[in-house]
Amino acid sequence: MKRVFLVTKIVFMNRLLTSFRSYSTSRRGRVLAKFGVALQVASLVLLIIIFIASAIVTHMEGRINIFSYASPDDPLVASSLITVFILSLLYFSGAKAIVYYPSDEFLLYQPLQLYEIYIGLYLGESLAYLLITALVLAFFLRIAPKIAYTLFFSVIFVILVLAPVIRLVIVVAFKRGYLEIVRSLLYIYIVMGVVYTVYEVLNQKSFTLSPLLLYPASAGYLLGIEMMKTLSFVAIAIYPLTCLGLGLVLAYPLGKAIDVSDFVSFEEVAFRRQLSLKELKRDLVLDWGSPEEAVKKSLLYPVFTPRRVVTRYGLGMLVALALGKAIRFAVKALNINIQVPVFIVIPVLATFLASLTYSIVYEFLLYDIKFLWILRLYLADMGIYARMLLIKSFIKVMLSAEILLLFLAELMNSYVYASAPLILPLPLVLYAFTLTLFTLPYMRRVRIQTIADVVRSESTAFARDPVTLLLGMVNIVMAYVILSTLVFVAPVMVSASQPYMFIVLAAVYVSTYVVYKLSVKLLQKKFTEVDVPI
Amino acid sequence: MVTGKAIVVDGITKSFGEVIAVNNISFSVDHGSIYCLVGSNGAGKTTTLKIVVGLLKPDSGRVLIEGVDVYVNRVEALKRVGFVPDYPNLPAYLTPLEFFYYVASLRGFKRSDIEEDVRSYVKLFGLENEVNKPIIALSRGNLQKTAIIAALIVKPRVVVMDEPLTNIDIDSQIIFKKLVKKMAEEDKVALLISSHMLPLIEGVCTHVGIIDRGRMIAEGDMDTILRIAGEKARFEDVYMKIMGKSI
Repeated sequence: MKRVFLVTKIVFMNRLLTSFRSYSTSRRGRVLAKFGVALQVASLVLLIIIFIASAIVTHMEGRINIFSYASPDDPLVASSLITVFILSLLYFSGAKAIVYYPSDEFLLYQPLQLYEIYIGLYLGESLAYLLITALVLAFFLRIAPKIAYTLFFSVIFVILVLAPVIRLVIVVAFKRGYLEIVRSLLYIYIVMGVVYTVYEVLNQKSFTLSPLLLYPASAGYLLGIEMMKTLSFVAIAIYPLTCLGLGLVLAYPLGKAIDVSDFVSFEEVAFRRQLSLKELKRDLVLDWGSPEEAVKKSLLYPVFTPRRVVTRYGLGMLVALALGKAIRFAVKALNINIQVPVFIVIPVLATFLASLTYSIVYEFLLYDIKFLWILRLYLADMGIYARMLLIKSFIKVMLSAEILLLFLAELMNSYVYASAPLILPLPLVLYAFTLTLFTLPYMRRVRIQTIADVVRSESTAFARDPVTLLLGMVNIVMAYVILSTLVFVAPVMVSASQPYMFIVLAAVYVSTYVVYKLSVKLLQKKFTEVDVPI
Repeated sequence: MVTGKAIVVDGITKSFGEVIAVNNISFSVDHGSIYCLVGSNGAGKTTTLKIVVGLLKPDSGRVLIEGVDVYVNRVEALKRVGFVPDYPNLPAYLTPLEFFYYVASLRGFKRSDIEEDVRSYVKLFGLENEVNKPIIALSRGNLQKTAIIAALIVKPRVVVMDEPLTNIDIDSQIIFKKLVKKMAEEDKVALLISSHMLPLIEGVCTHVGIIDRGRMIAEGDMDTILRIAGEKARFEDVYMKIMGKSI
């Protein structure tokens, strides 16, 4: 047990240090990173203060009111969310191994039992995760007790008990060749749940989710609520500890069944993922033509683009259309004014667009700008590269926006939304340009070698890097602006300029072309002058 | 200004934040010379080489390639250069063979211009069984060999290499040494190489520059440098003496 806690402490410290580390060499960057650390510590302190204050200050009647929110109906939302999470964890778990960060590798050659390492890893990670998310939890607990309590207990239960135990079940089942059996049982379980739900709906003429689908997660929630009702405030503090204890009890026998080859580094997992993206089944390209053609082929031809990226957009559009149709059908059935959702869905869609376009940024980092050194050395005119990269990012931004606009068009039953990128391409060009421009300082700062560098930059190491923060903020704001422009301006433009439509369109296309040319010039200058770390 | 030199590095300085990576470094490399940059880890060798090939912009100073300023007339200067980075980032989705022709076409070569060279280098470095695999599937050593071949097939007048022999097998190290000697002696190519490998430095280099904490502390042709530590001195004796270290 002593060794388990030692490993926990090491992993916990490693995670925190990784999360709080600043990759900035400038004084301002380091100050920002320190501010991040201070914020995290403050959030933890705030969480503790809120717990104590709520126990001392809040009138007992008020606390009883808070608890009364946790009526037996509440588990429905939280439990179904968590059930989906658990089922997807079980199904989509590709690694089938215990993934560790490089900073933890030394643990594997220390005189420790493997289950001690595993338990220590997951305890340390869970605690670090809880500390990092303390601010969010504190926020929820302060302003929205109903949702907060519901999700708080369920999430803690999943993080500390179910996720690592399920991960171990997958590893052990995979090792012993039982994974397909586990998956088959999962399918049977899901089918039973769905059939039972349909049966209940038909019988009762109202929608009731089968309790079968909720059981895996509702246990944690109910346990937490029951403890809180009986033990009151003290339970809040001891609940996570109880979860940890339960996790330990469950992980101990499973941990004995693993061996050292079940531990796979984060880099290795990312490398395997990258390897699976490679294109092998194609003819070799040995005639590249002129320098311009070579850049065009390497950047624009689908043969070099991972299949996943090519199919993603097609699939996305189909899903968007289906979803739009389904929601329109539901909205009609429930007799809701269809005009209302447009204003509600824009921010949501903009956030989606921002996350969709992040994949473009990662692709820049992985496949395009990563090889800037080759082009800087071997290509005479960086204008060719700037032009092709801008066209490529424009196409991708347009396709990403089109997915969301198709959804909106189907929802509103008005296909003017879907044609908005063609009517008003200017904001998309600006967005593509901004994304490309803002990726450069990111590339300059970090030596990108593998997909792991990028994935890690998304998850932990660079989360508090000032450049990453800036990139994220710009992306979200720009996504919001361009979607709003497309959705609100394009239809108005079509209806208001009806007699002069062609003149207006010509003016729009001319100005877009001018902006495109200016963007290429600016990018060319940047690509020629920027420091390339390789 | 020195004329007729293949590479002239004239008082370059480069800082990253508060760290001065390269501090007023100057040296020059003639055609037919093999100039080795030597120094401890973090001394500033890689930064110097990246400035020479125009990947980093110096805060002050300049670099001339065959008399052409890398920053004033980048295109003209870099036409003459081949470069091997310390950790080559190569397009993972291409095969080495595709990559060779890709690089060559960026320089304006046709496939037929380099076909013979590609074939002979691939055979020389024993890459025959690897050239049709995607680059991501290559071992670290084969990745390095790919980068070396790519730098050589563009028929450069100046070759800059950062730790070119890292992870490379012994056979290829021997071949590499013979190859660079031949390029310098017969083709009068200028080579600027950073290395930690004593056999490469002693067996191949005609000139040496020793860098410490961003500054050039000793520089000259190999014979002159060796004499610093006395008659029949080896390079390691000179290095230890210059760095003020003893075992």
